[in-house]
Amino acid sequence: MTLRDTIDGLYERYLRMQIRHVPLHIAIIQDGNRRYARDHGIQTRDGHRAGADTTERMLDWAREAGVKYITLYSFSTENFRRTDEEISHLFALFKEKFTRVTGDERVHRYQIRVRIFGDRTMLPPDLLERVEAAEEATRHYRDFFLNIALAYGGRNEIVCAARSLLQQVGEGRISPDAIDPAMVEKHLYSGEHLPPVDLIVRTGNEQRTSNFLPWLANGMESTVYFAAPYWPSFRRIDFLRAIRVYDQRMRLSAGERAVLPLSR
Amino acid sequence: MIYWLYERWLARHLSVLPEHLCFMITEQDMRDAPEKLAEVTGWCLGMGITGITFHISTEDPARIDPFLPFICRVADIGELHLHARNREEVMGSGARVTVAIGSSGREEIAACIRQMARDGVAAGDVDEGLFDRYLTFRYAPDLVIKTGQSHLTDFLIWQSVYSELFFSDVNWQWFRRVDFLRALRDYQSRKRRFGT
Repeated sequence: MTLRDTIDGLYERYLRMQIRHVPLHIAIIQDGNRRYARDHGIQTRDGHRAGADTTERMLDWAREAGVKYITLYSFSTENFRRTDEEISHLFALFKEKFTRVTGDERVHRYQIRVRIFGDRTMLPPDLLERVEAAEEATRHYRDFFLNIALAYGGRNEIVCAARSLLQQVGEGRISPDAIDPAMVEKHLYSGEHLPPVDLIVRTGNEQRTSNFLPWLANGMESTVYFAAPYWPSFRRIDFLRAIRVYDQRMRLSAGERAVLPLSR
Repeated sequence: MIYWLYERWLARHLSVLPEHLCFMITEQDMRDAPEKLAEVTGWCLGMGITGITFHISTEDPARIDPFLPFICRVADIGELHLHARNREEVMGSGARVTVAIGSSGREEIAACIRQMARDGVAAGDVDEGLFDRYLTFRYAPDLVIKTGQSHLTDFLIWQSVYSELFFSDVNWQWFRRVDFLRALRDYQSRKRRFGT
């Protein structure tokens, strides 16, 4: 164990001790796999693989911290504009990961429900088949929720909700006057209930939300944490720092004494 | 003196400016510094930024009424579009400055769909372009600035999906021109990709 590991371990414990308010729902924009690959002189696909390893570790950190809902921005509607080669590598990686969900011992032990959010019609059938098998295998789990945004676009999500509502208006099932924010929310993708995003995290030193969850994050005034590291280099300490930003906001609104950050 | 020089130095090194800038402020900010909004408008106009929006979050727009005289000073230097309680008033002339009091982005989206339903729009005809035509606020801010806190705001939730965000540690009350210029410098250093 190196000195750095020891210090990190102590610092992690210090951060964990400080946190009183744990977010129910964290959304993560895992940015920087490609730049990580470039910096390390490895292929783009290996950057994505390194990112997927971080995702698996992060899911353990989240579960241990008591975060019930995690939503990941894995592939956006805009990402379809990337090269065919990159897209096919990414989809092969997703397929592999979704195939493994069913047999993953942790998924069953911790009762993790896995779902995707996005425009399913844009996904290749073989990937969609694996996704749906993973969803079916975890359908009854309620302790933790892992939501994966695939072929997701925030505006597209709202357009789909509008279409669904107008369809019902056309059939005379709802009146135009009844359309309010609560009703729109019920019709966002899949119509399944997702709680508001408490904390949105983006890695890779970009400071924007890039069409991710405009309703559930922006609309619900989610706390924001921008982290400089690329996603493959994202560590537990960064994760805990993000939670601390949420914790500080909750303390302020509850009138509790804020703990000043030791360092940033 | 030092600040003045630093400000001049910062201002001289700015070449890429946001076309549209949006500030997210709160009712408390208005109470702490009622004159600030018009002052910041002056800073923007001085830099040549001609699309400016202020959102004032409040649960009850009536609580902002005492500060309306301060807000209306904007009409001396620009064309003030004041949105409150679903009404819009226009005062003054020049660059367009929108002040939205208590507006909700989710309510704006719901209102678009409600209007589409009243207009008898068919489900299949809805796309992003149609939404753009139904929105109350028809612009996308290039940069959104929030002072004092790090959280998103329920305003322009459709329009700001690709906006650059800037969170300043400094409260609105203490937000100086030098902080404003730093935010612009930060914006200049960003690489925008619009999702690709």
